[in-house]
Amino acid sequence: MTTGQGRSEVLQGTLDLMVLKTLEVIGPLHGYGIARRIEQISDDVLQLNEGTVYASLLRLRQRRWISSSWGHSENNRKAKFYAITQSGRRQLATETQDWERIAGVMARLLRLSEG
Amino acid sequence: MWVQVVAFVSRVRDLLRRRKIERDLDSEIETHLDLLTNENIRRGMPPREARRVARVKFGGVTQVQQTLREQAGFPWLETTVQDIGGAFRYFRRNRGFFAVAAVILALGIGATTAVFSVAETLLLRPLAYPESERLVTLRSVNTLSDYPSTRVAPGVLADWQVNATSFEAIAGYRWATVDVIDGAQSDRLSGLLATPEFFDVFGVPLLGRSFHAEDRGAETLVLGNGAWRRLFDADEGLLGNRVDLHVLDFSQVGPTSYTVVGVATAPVPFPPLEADFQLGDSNVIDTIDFWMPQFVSTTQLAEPGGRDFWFDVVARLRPDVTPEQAQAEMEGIARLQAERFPETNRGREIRVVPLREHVAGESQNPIVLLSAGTAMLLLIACSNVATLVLARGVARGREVAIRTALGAPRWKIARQFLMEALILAASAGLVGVLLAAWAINVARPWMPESLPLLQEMGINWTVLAFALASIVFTACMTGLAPALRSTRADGARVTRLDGRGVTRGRSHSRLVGVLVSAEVALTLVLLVGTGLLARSAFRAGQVETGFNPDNLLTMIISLPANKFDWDHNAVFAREVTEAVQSLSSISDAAVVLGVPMRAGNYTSGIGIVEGYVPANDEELSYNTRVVSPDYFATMQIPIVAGRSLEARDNEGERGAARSIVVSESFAKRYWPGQDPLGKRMTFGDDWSDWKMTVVGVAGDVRYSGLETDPTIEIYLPQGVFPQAAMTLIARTRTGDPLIEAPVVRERIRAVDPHAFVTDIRSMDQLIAGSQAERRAGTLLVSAFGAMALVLVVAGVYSVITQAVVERRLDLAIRSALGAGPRQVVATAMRTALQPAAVGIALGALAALGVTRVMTSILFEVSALDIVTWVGAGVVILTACVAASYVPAQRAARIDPMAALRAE
Repeated sequence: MTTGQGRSEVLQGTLDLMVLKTLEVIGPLHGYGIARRIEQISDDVLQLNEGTVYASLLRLRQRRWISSSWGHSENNRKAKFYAITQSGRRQLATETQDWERIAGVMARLLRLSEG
Repeated sequence: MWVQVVAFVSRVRDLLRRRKIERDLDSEIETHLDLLTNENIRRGMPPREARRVARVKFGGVTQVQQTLREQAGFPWLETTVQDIGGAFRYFRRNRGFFAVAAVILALGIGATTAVFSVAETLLLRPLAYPESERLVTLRSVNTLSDYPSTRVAPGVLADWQVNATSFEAIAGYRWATVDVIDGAQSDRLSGLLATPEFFDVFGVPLLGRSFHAEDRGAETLVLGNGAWRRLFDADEGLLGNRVDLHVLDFSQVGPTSYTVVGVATAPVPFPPLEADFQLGDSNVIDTIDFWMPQFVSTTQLAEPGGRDFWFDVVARLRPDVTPEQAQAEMEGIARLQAERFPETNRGREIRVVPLREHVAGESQNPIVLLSAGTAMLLLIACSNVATLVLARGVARGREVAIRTALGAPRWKIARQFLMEALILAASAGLVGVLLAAWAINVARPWMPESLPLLQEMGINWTVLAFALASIVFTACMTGLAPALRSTRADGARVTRLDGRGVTRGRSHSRLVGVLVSAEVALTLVLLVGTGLLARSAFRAGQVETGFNPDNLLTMIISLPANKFDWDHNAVFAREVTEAVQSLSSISDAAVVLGVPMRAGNYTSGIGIVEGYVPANDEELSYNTRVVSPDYFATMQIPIVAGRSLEARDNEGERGAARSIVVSESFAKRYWPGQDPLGKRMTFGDDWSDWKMTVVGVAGDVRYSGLETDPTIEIYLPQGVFPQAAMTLIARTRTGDPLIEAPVVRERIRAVDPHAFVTDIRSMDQLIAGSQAERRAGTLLVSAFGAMALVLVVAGVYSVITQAVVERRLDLAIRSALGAGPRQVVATAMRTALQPAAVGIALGALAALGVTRVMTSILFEVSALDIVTWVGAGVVILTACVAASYVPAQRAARIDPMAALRAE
């Protein structure tokens, strides 16, 4: 599977986190919607192969951080909608804290080595 | 953590409904692509362009599907299952190869497992006592004399208990028997006279109590679990009550009363560590039936007899003390004692031996040898199969080529080969374990009695774990080579679909050659060993015993102790002999103390022999054998001078024999060149007591076994030396003497219903039993030799077969160029016979070394025995030639034109 020029590789876990966050903020969404939203938020910096979202969705579902149900998409197609669960929210909170902490440390570290 | 569990469970569930998940995904992808396409159309792209861009943006659909499939399930598991399926399919197509390879490996794995079971039983399995690794025996060894006993004096034991700091508890004990009479039933119990520390050393679980200092002088008893159940129905009310036991007591006749102060709540197995004739079948693992207290104190050191060697000693080490440290401490104590008591303790050393080592006997070396042998066998088997697999690998080059061309990663192909090897090894392993279980069952009765633990050997979890390890080892040995070869880069160079052009290369042929040489060499060593051992066993069987062993029935008879007074034993012996002799099926009967060919020679060194002046430090040495008058006639031992003992010699004061018979060797030793008849000797320190006169000389007899010299004997009349237990010997008129055993037993019971009759054996059995270790060893090595030979034949056969197939073209060309069929066959045979010849040479060298080590166990056969060596060489040469001739014949039948056309 090739990534094109300029596309950054997104780690599995990070993608999971982004999907989770998206669902928390926006509410129930289908795969296409999630992919669109992530692209939007990242200002097109992250250009994923959109199919990878589905692997992420399965992982999240296996951990019971999201739930799924069938609905209809905008073009009246059958689509699966995903929603964040209570434990998903808790996980998101924990991971957000971790990220912020790491980011803070990294920032200080990088400033240090420059200084 | 919890999340992992949830995820795992979900994964299992998703595995089960994967098809639904895949269908769902497909429709989701459809939807997604549609939405993307619509978006693009809205941006102004033409529909087809929109669709294409959408697909690109989405990424690889098949990749997504693949990722999902891996997520919903356990991919490694699925590939493994696939590999297993592939392996099974391969073996179903190649049944012949599978069968041959599996049989070969089953032999190897089975042999290794069986031997490991022996090693595990004797050397590895912890003894059945709590923290048994801390148990040691303390043996007092006299370095200045050959006296074999390692017993310890009571005073010395007390001294150790006080002074030795390495031990939690030191206990002395001695085996004894007591008899119980209950109506017409009589029971013989074997148990210990033990110091109270015994219960601490072994952690015996008790109801009631063990012994206190107050028990000194009182008759107290702790009953063993088995006896408690058997005789008293496990009645707890027994505690505090008295039981009547028959123990030896010269001051009275009849039973002695003992108070039961404690009962063991579990059986305590405790094999006797030194043979004790009184116990009869004493070498079977028994549980202790009773304990009676013995008390020691250091004051005994000053008493006469307080330094007589009496106790066997066991001890429990302190948790932080090693046997080596204890040994060092005891060496110091031994030196001190030697200085204080030079007459009894000079030159005495104390050995600290872990109990497990003691129980395993001297079996450690033989077991190591045995393990080495089976390891060799397994390696031979693996190399055989590896050869086969490698040869097949060539033929499978086509398969590998196709799969590589289709994009299979190399490690996947290698994994397939490894899985095949594992399946093969596992199947062979299963058969091997079953074979081992069968072999163990068959071999158990052949095991020497001196290693009673061997009766416990079998397939347990430890042995199974070992078998599993062997299977994995075998799989690696046989699977690695082809697996590695398939991953070599030039394996991919083979892209021709007909598989031709795959040359084995010289390295392959050399590898096969080395394997064949190794096999042949190892087999030659085994065959030479087998031959030497077999000839030794045969020679041993030819030895003259000095008596006629045919149709002799033996059994050990005794009365309950103290049922009558001591002198009655002589009367009993006479009555039994007469009663048995009166049977029509018995021609002669007699009694003797000590069973020929078995335990219990009564060696003595005391007394004075008339006319013989011993050299300075020399001690007299002779065996005493108490016999009834008909002994020599029954055993058919010739009387070479004078007369046999007669009924009148039985008269007289107890212990004061007047007439004795000596063996030829005795006469030669102590009265060389003189007439022994009429010579006298005494057991006392001087001639003031009674004297014994030699009235006859009997021919020499090998009482100690076929491989030892005839013993120096004095025969004493049983009438004046009544014995508690004697061996009855009866010659039956016909056939198998054991058939008469029940009738004889009845006669004995008729004389006294409480008599004990044990150890019923025919003399042939006793002789075979004395040879048990040699026979077992010979049997084992020959089994190995036979298996190795089978493996060599199989190996050579398959090597030639493959060689003929591969060199079809080469051989066809030779044939077309005018080589006669015999030359073609010879060319084919050379593939295996050249390395075989090398193997024979190497094997001969190795065998020279091995047989030099073996000389100590050979009997009247030289390590360089020509017959054996030549025989072994011929056998293996014939096997190799025969094994290579048949497949090589096929080479001659190759039609050169057909072969050339096919290329």
